[in-house]
Order: sequence, then structure tokens, then C-alpha cells
Amino acid sequence: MRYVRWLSLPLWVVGLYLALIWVPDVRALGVSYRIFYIHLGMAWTALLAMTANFVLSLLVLMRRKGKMETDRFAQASAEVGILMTTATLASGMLWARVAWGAFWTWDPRLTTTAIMWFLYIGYLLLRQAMDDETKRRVYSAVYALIIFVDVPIVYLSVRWWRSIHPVVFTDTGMNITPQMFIAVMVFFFATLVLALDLIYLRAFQDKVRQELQERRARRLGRLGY
Amino acid sequence: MLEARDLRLQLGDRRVLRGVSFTLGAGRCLALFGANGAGKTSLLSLLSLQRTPTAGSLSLFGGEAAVDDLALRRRLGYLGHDPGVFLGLTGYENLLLHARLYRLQDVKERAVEELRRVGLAPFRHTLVRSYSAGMRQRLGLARTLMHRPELLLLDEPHQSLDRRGQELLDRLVREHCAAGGAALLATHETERALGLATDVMVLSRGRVSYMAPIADTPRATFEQVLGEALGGGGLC
Amino acid sequence: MLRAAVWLFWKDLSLELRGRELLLPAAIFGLIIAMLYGFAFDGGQQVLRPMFPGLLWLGIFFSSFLAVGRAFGVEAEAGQQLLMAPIDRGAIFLSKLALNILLTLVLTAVLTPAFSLLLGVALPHATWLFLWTLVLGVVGFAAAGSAMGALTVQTRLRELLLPALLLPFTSPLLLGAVNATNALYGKNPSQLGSWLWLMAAFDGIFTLVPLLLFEYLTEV
Repeated sequence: MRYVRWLSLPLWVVGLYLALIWVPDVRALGVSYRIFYIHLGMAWTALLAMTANFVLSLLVLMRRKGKMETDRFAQASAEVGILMTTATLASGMLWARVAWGAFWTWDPRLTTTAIMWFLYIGYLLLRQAMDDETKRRVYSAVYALIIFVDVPIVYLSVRWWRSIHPVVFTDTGMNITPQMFIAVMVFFFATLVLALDLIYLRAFQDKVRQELQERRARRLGRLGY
Repeated sequence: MLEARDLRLQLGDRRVLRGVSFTLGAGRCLALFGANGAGKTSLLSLLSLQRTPTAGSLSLFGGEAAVDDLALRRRLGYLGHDPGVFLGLTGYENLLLHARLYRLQDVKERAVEELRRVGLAPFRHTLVRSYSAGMRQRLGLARTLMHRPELLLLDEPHQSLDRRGQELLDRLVREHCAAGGAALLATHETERALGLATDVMVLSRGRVSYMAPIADTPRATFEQVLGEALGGGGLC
Repeated sequence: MLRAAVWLFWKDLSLELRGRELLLPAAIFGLIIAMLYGFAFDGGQQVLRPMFPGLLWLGIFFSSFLAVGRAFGVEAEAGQQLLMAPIDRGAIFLSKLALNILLTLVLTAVLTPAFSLLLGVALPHATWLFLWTLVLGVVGFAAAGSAMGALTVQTRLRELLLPALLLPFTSPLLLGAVNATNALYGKNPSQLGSWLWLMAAFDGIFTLVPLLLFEYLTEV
């Protein structure tokens, strides 16, 4: 993991170059559409992080061993997922303002992303509100599984809902050229590597925190408390 | 009946229990002493399967204790700081519900009988909300004993009971042990507990600092260990 | 499991019948919401008509939320006792689900005519379909509320945490209920079936999933 970290930086540089300079303008969209490369990579990464959280939570419940480590990674992937979701929402809103004239358009994907953001913030809130570590592990894992099932239902309902209202803004049918595809994929991998690195760092940090707590406990013990 | 091996529990940066090992056989009644924060309630929460220990193992009734073993729970009786009764139900209804959840036979008769045993028969149709603290504790005691548990775990059971209530409690616990059950009570009521128990254990900062049958413990020795446990290292 | 659930439900029901601690405040709150809608959106005018389904369902959800949120409060009151009994956590979930369904149905039965009267909007003509919509919406909310209530019962700040978890979670249900009601008022009536199916799926999924998963909660 230590070496992968350094892969993220060149990937980002290359990705930025490809997205901002190399890929030609799309006539109908102007220069603003270039945020799309960043936006899409982050959105995919966010979804993958939430999926990782789901799988890890499942493992926390099913497996007998290594629960603590798995739980650490589950929490880290939710946190990074929220970070990526926030970035997706922010970049999406900026783009929407330029392309469609409004920050918020109740587009199905945008709305689902926002609801997903709330659901996973709830995951962190739930964890924070439980003191007992064993309980926190199991309860938050159950919650994570339940909300993961909810996300596709949210998406479906929002899509039906929007299809009823007059659709003001359609997804301007962009035909992806091979050039654009390459830029998208490079950016996606750059973001993915960054996310993996952040997850790993966060889990590591939590482990260190726990070790420090352990030491503090030992010292308090030696002092006779 | 109960065997604890090196039980450890850490809550945050506090090591509440630091390797507690002891055994408790049938017919024994163990009085557990210790300063505030010595780990009495935490130990009871591990023994009553409310928490999993950070490390160490616990076997109950000859088998390894698992937190999700429902059959095991039926053989335990736990009375904590809180009597654990529903305030909006009457005393009778509380026991009825308890009997049904524990799948007892003849629930109605049993509920009345238990209420009589703890002296609450006249108030059986009164809401627990209007019971006094001592009456609630008596009801909690009835609830704890109702399903005839083999191992009794009592956390400061004498609290808020009047003298007759305390005598009743002592008698019930004595009967329980005489019938082949085991009991463990955490307490600050030194004299009462010594008159009741067969063994004593002193917890000090999460470790067992003394454990022996009362018969083998001269009063002076006991006073000394207890004094050490309460005097040095407790919370000031 | 079922037997324990029945006894627990009996306990909750007799507590509720005796104290009316959940239903009465929640119903009053719902009526207050209807009054406030009238003030805020000028209830005398006909402008409220197109907004009525949304207002009605928000009123039902918010007041149901009060009842559902409090339903686990009784357990917190009696401490650990129930959690130590030799019963499945699934039984606790089922009993709360039954209680919550009953409470929210009664609430809806009170609030729906009250909203219609106060806001001056007649209820849809298709009575049976409307009843179905109400039942599906309310049952789903009760199921989600019971699941989230069980997960938050042992947390600090339970009252504050529950809305943050429950309300975003039930957003597809709100969309389904509001749009199905809209369809009954003649707005995109062809969509009615899909919305009813969506709500039914939500109800089914979030009754079954917690029931399966709550087995794991016994471990701790």
C-alpha cells in the first residue's frame, strides 16, 4: 500500500492533463463539461466505496475472526465514500449551474446521491452514539446492510417521480469518443487509487488510536487506577 | 457451576477488569466486595452475558458461555441496580409477562405465589409506577427468582430495602443456595453479606485481591484486605 | 419467536391502552400540523388542492414518527431486563412492528379526515384504492421505524438520532404515497399501479430484511 500511494499523484496529473487539455471541446457543452471527468470518476468511486462498506459489514456479521480489523475498514470505506459523495454532489452542482442554470435540478441521480449521503452520514452518527465497541460493530453493520438495500429503491422511486414531471433538462446525449473514454478511465483510476489509499490510511490511523488508548490504559494501570 | 478464567474488560482507555479468575460451585454463595470502580458491576455484566469480555473465557454450567446462547440465559437470574420492571404494568402483570417470556407453566398461579413470597400480594393490581423504591426492588427480586435460575447474580440487592425486606432477601438467597443453586452478590453491606455468604471475594482495581471461604477467613484478615481494597487506590 | 412476540405485543398494547402515552400526543401533534398548514398556506383558498397529497402525507409521517420513536422508550425504561430474557431479537422487532402498525393506522384514520376537513379538500372518490394507499404507506413507515428504533434503542441521543436515520430512509415511501394519492386525484392515473407496487415492495423488503438480520443482534 505504501507504494500505491505514490501512484495516485501521477495518475491525477495525467488525468487532469487529459481532461483539461487533451480532450477536445464538445461543441454543445462548451468548456464547462470538462468537470464531467472529475465528477464521473468520483461518483463511481463513491458507489464502489459504499459497496465495499456493504461487503465488509456482511463479513463483520458472518465471519468469526478478524472482526475488529474488518470493522475498521468498513468504517473507513464509509467515510471515504461520504467524502467522494460530497465531492460528486459539489462538482455536479457546479456543472448543473453552468449547464442548466440551476444548482439543484432534482435529477434522479443527483437526488439519489443526496439521499445516499444522508443515509451514510446516519451510519457515522449511529457509530458515534454507541460506546460499547462490540455492540457498535454489530449494530452499525446491520444498519449498513439495511441502507444499502434502500439505495436502489430510492433511485427507482426518484426516477419514476421525475418521469412524471415534465423533464426540463435532458442528459444532453453525449457520444463518448475513444479519447473521452480514455480520459474518463484514467481519472476513474486516479480517484480509485486515492480512495483506496485514504481508506487504508484511515483504518491505520484508527488502529494507531486504539494502540495509543491501550498504552494509556496500561500506564493508568501502572499508576494504580 | 461457574468458572471464569482471566476475564479482561477494557472500556475506552480504562481497564476495568484485569484478569479475573475464580470458580463458584453449586451451593456456594459468594459475596463480592470492592471500592467504587473496582469492577463489581462490570464483572456481573460479563457473567450475566450482557457483554463479551475483551479477553478471557467464561464457562457456565460446564459449557463454554456464548452471548447468543438463549438456553443459557434461562438458567441465569440477574438483578441489577435497576429492578428492571415496567412502570406502566401492575406487579402481577410484570411477573406474568416474565413468566411467559421464560415459558413457565401455570403462569397465573406462579405470579400470585411469587408476589406473596415477597410480600407484595396486597398490591398486585397496583401499577408499579406508584410503588416505592423498596417495593420495586422486591418486585425485581421476585422477577429474578421466578424462573428458578441456577445461578443468581445480584448487584447491590440490599439497596432501598427496609430491614424486613433485607431479611427476606437473605432468606431467599440462603434457600436458593441450600437447594443446590449458586449465588454471587456484589455489595457494600458488609455485615449482612458476611452473615449470608459462604465465600468472600474482594476486587481491587479490576483484580481479585482476596478470595476464600468465610470459614477460613479470620475476621481480622478480612478487615485488613477490605481496608486495603477500600483505602488505597480507590477513588478519593 | 412468534409466541414471545405476541406476549410482548400484549404488554405494549396494555401499556398503551392504559396510559395512551403514544397515540394521544401524536394525534394532537398531527392536528396541530394541519392547523399550521392552514395558517402558513392560507387554508381558505383553493390553492391547497394540488398540494393536498403532499401535505397529508407529511403530516402522517411526522406524527407517526413521534409515536414510532417513543415506542422503544418503554424498553429503555425497564433497562436491560428484556434484552436478557431468553427471546429472539426478532421477536422484539415483530412485537414493535405490530404495535407501530396499529398506532400509525389509528393515527392515519384520525388525521386523514381531519386534514380533509381543515384544508377543505375532499378525499379521492376511489375509496378502496385510497385505503390501500394509506395502508401500504403506513405499514412501510412502521416497518422502517421499528427497524431503526431497534438499532438506536441502546444509543445516546436516541431521540435526535432516530429522525436523522429514519426520514431519509423512508423517502421512496413518501414519494410512492404522495404520487399514488396524486394519481387518485387524477394526476397521471396510469402510474397508480407502479406506485402501489413500489410501496408494497418497500413494505415487504423492510419487514423481512430486519427480521433476518436481527438474529445477529442477540450476539451482543
